Amino acid sequence: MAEVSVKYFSAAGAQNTAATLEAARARAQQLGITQLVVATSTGKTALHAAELMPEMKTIVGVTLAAGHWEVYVAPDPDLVVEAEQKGVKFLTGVHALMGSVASAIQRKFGGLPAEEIIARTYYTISQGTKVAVECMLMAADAGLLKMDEDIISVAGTGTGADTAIVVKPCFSNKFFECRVREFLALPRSDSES
Amino acid sequence: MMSVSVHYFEKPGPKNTEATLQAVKARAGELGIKQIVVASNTGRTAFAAAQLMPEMARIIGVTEAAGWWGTDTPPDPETIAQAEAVGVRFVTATHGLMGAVEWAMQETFGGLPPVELIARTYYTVSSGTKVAIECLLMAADAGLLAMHEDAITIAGTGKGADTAMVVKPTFSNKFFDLRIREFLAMPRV
Repeated sequence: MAEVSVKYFSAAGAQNTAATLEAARARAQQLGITQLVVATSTGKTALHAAELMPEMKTIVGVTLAAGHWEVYVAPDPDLVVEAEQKGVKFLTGVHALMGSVASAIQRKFGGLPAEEIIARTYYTISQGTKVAVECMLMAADAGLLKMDEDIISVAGTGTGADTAIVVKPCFSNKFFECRVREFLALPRSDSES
Repeated sequence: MMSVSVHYFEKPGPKNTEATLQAVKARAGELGIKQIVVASNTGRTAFAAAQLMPEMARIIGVTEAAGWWGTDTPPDPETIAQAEAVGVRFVTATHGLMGAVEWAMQETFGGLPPVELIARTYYTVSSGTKVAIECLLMAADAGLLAMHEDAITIAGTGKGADTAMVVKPTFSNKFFDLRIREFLAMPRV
């Protein structure tokens, strides 16, 4: 049995980014994990992670798909270049759980498609849990992960990071083989401070 | 921000029961939580929780629905009586997520109905996570929880306990309002 010091934040949001990344770094060192996936709309959180964890062999920064850039935020080219220089590989593609064709079906015809149910189930833990699993699936499908090694996946609520999980990675077409092994950081509430 | 010492077990199963219940007692004391829900086929785990945590205002033991007793393990009347004598209230009812009408639909017609999909999503965290949420919904729907107070819900893999969570409770018909606030114990595999 491992007793792990987990960060539980009273409110969700970007103010938890530094503590979340520190928790990811500390547990990665204990477990020997060398691959990290980071949800990063602009590239800022991925850059922060790369600066904090130069020892990582793989850091994948997953941005929003381009269809969401106008509504939310697009990658910042300067931040992306800076992060790439520190070894981050960026991925922009179809969202694996929420915000792609199933969401378009829901918006036009109603109902709750299967991927959206999965996503909303993870929302009962935190928004970041959903996004962290989603980004892990996208990084796996893009061929950027070693699939026989655990990873840490980091995501947040809107911007920054407030959730970090240790995950046994899987491809999206083997979704039910995914395994969240540990939570390292999590907000206790959806509301942002 | 709170740093909480969480138990991550190398393997699932009943050997983690004592450590799980101890983690619950410690965190309930810190947070002032007075209600726990325990998945308990025979009544044994609920009884153990009640003996360890006499300070709880509400301990709800949730057994399997009777349609599963032939396949799994039915409640043990003596253990149930012992647990009730120390304050446990038991619920035996339609399962909140898996193993009810949608299960029958899946068995008969195939496919993966929505509530079963929710259950299998929780399985990606742990078997106990699914069962703990399910039991929480069942205890809430039975009218046995104070719905404005957080609860700790406890379940395991097969028998005993290896998963515990602090949860903002909800009724099953408001499922998407549910919020898992903290994991206190969980198996890693």
